[in-house]
Order: sequence, then C-alpha cells, then structure tokens
Amino acid sequence: MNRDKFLQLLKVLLEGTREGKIKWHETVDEKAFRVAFGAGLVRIEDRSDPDSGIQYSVAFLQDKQGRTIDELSPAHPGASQLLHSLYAEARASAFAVDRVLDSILRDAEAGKTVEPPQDYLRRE
Amino acid sequence: MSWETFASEYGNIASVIGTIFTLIGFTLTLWQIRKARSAAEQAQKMAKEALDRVSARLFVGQVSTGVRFSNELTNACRIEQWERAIDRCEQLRLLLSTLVEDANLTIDESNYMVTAIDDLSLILRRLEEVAKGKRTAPLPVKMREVLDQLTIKLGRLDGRLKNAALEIHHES
Repeated sequence: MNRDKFLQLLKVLLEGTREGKIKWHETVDEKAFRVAFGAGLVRIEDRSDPDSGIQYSVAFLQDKQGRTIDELSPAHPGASQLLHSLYAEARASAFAVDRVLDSILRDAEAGKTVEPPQDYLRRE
Repeated sequence: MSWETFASEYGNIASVIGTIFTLIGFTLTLWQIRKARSAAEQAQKMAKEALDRVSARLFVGQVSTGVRFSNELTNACRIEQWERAIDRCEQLRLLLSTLVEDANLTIDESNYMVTAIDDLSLILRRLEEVAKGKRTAPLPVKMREVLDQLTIKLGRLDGRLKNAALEIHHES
C-alpha cells in the first residue's frame, strides 16, 4: 500500500519536474539528486550492478531525521521505466540542462563564442 | 410605629445590606479565584522558562559537540583514517537528526540540517566503500567541500547561540 503510494508520488514528481514545477538539487554524490519537502525528502540515485555493470535507478523517501521510510527499485512492478525517466529528469533539473542548452544554442546561432585569454596554455 | 411598619422598613434595609454584603463577598471570592489562577499561571510560566533555559543549554552543548565531530571527521578524512572517519560521520549524522526539529533553529538552519543529514549518509556510504577497498581515496572534492561548509555552518550556529546565551545572562 505504502509502496504504491510512493510510486504514485514519484509519478507526480516526474510530471512536476517535466512541467518545471519541481526543482531537484545536487547532492555530494554526482549520481544522486534530491528534492526536499516540509516533512522530508526524496532522493534518486543511479547505481551500477558490480557484477553485470548494468545501470539502474533507485529512489528513497526519507523523513527529516534522515530515516529511510521507503525505497523503490526497478524490481517493483511498473517502477523500472518510471525510475529511469525520473532520474534523467531530476539530473536535467538539477543541472538546469534546458537553460544551459538554450543559452548555448542562442550563442551558437549568433556565432557568439568566448575566446580564452591570449596567454592561456602558452608555456614559457 | 406599628410592628408591621417597623418590620417592613428595617426588613428592607437589612435586605439591602445583606445584598451588599453578598455582592462584596462574591467580588472577594472572584478576586481570590483570579489571584489563585494568576499565581498558578505565573508558576507555570516560570517552570516553562526554566525548562526552556535547560533545553537551550543542552542544545548549545549538542551544537558544540557537533562542531567537534565535524572537525574530527574532516581531519580523519584528510589523514585517511577511514574507520575513525566512519565513526565520526555516524555520530555527527545521529546528532544532527536529534537537532533538526529543535525550536532554537531558524527555518533555514533546519532546512540546511535536513540536506546535511542526507549528504552525511552519502558520505558515510562512500567512506565505508573506501574502507573496504571498493573505492579509492581520497574523498571527492565535493564531499570535502560539503564537510568544510558543515563545519563552518555549525561553528556559526554555535557562535550565535553562545552570543544569545551571553546576552540573556547579562540582561538577567
């Protein structure tokens, strides 16, 4: 029951992130992103199986004290694709990929590049 | 004067006087009740203030311990004493989880603690992997930066609380 509710929450987060209503943040781990709420937070991580090397995403629901209340892995029915998509969206949100891409695209179309300083990489 | 007239006149006066005394008595009773309630409220307020002072003192002590754990964790990571680092990281995480909802924290400080607790759990996992040889040392730059920031933040909080305690001490 709780697991299904958590699955539902992740679907809401996916929609919200796509619509730009939910903003994810970086963590100390470059492959983990989180979004915090009043009562706790949701963290999504990218992991790789040490034996097969297969990559997968796992989501955690934590309370304010850092206790893991729920955890969702691709083993749960219907979670695999959702977790994969949510990780991609969370990463894009945390790194503001859209904003950076839009800016670079505008610059590229206008032929506006940034030149490095003249003495850069020049060895004496 | 007939007996009936006397009884009627003095009866009325006695009744009026009786009513006045009753009113005075009633007012006095109300005043006593109010006084007793106010004394009880005052005692309750004083007990609450004493409790707040004790909890604030405990909180200051815990934050100071947090600063020490954070310093020790950073140093243990710097000199690559992984077992010690794991121990301090666990203790610091536990300590912050007891502080996170304390009324002495501002909303921003409380929110910061929530993310710091989460980051510490990720750092702890990394430390355990390094200690088991699954990952190579040192810790990633970002983790070291977050630990430095945490030490600074807790140090600031410690300073703020100690200053506030000093001001209260001077005022009283």
